Amino acid sequence: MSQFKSTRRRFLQAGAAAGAFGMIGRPAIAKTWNVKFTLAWLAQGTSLFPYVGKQKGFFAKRGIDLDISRGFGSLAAAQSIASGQFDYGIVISAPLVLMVAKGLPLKGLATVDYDAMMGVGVLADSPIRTPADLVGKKIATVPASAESPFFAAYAKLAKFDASTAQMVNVDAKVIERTLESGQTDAMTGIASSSLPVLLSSGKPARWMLYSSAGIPTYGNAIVGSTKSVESDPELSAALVDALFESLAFTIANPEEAADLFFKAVPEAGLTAGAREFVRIGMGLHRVGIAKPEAIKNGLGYGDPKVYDAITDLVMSYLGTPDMKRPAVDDWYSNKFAGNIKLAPEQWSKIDGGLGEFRKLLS
Amino acid sequence: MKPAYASGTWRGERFYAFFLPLVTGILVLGAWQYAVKAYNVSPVIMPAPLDILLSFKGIGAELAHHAWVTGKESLLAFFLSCVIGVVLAYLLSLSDTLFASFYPNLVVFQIIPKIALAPMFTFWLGIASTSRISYAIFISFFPVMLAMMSGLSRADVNALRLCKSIGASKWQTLFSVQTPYALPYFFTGAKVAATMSTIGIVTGELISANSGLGFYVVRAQSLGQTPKVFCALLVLCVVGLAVYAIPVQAEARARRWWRGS
Repeated sequence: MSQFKSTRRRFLQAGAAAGAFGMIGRPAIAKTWNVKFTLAWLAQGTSLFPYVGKQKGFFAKRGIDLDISRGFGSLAAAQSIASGQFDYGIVISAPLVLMVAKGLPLKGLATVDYDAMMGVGVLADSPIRTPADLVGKKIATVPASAESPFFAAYAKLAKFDASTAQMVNVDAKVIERTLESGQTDAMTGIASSSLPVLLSSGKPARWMLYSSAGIPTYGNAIVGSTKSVESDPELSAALVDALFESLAFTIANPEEAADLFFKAVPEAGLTAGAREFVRIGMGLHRVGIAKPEAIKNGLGYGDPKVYDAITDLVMSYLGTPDMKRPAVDDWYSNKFAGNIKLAPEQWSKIDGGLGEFRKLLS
Repeated sequence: MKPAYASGTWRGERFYAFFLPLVTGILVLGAWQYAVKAYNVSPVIMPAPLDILLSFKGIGAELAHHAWVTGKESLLAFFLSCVIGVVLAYLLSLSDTLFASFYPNLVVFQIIPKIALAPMFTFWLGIASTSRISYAIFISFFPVMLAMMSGLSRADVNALRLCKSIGASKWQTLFSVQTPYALPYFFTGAKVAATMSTIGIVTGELISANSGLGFYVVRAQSLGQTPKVFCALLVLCVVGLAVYAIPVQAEARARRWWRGS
């Protein structure tokens, strides 16, 4: 057994060796970003993909430590991003345009889905089959919900008199129940949020989409504050890539994605029907994603012409004198979008599983 | 030692009751105005006080209509809360059996976080004003009942003995002796109920309404019109104060009547 003797020479030798190891062997310290990210609403079928990507390590491998928070509506999400409470988040396109027109410093970085699924929902056995059947009916609406202000636009395009409908303003917590209980004949809402609630609780329902009447309604967009996007474009690029890698995995592997989501957010699976709720939401979300824009240009690409039409819609129905019509190029860019693509056979497979969900929409 | 605000001089009392809160309020508003302008905060995020004031222009009639709806329902809820609270207090004070049966349950009932039940009233009673008024009563009657019960039990023991000795009935004792003793307690509970009933109505309007200040707030929020949200909240303060003034005024009159002046 050798005995180590500490001498001045040994000490200097050890110091030199340690210094040399430090110079040669020290690994490069990877850049890490801590990103505060807000959803537009509660985590559900349409917004679980960031959790899935986090579980899969898509953010970590790009040096992003993503802190995901639930949202309280698209307007609140947009406001909290603009005020710096969050760095980035998900906001529905129409409220995003409204907030940009109000002067909030926001940038749209990519488009998640191409139909917000705004529309009018009815129970499956309702006699309301076409928009014209809504005349004189009692319709529940959540004034703060993205689709609510555009009911008049829908009525105009679907050629019925909106003033003949009896609108009832209710909170998001009760709207589906008012329909289920027969207190109202129909409701306005986002199909991918409300249909899962109704169907997973055993109430068959269907949706008449605003988009079917010709209203341009892109769904969620990835949004950052102007400051966040301009100060660190490298982060914006990495974040958008990680989010769409997450989305690609989610839409290509819905069952595995749901498992990962429930692992990440166990409380989301506590209620009866939670799995069905998420499955239906994810299915409807896939319907909104499998569109030519994404198939042709890659996930995240948004057509500026559609955003232009959404801007016209917002200015027509929500415009106030203090608002200035924003030019799309000033607040939206596809610069970071379109890097994540799915192969044609993947799109075919996704499309093959959508029949069940498409038949809920008209 | 007397507190500084009770100096006894007219000037001293006015300083503490009026001047000091006014100056503090103006300073806070000034700081708010400065901070919003200095940091160029968007009015959608946080409007400056002057922007809020200017936003009243052109919406006065609309706000007055919504305030009237909220105020009317708040008043009704407040009145019914007082009636229900007083009746329950009498019943539980008169009967030991009723007290033993109901009082612990009512206490447990009150521990429930009532805001969580607000949407349920829509399921149970529909989306009209009935659900809002019922919810407001539900959160308002208990302070009245509790205060009244407390007051009824605090009647002067000698007066109660006297009633017994002269053969006064239970009802006579209750109305002629216990009730006057309970009045200050009742008004304390009624003041709490006044604020609670306004809160209850507005909470109900946030859940289901086609008019009222709660509805106005939701609609303004949904359009990103934050200054108008603040306008509605200011009007709501006025409505709340008006409802609160009722038990305050009633108490002052009752005191005068009690003193015979």
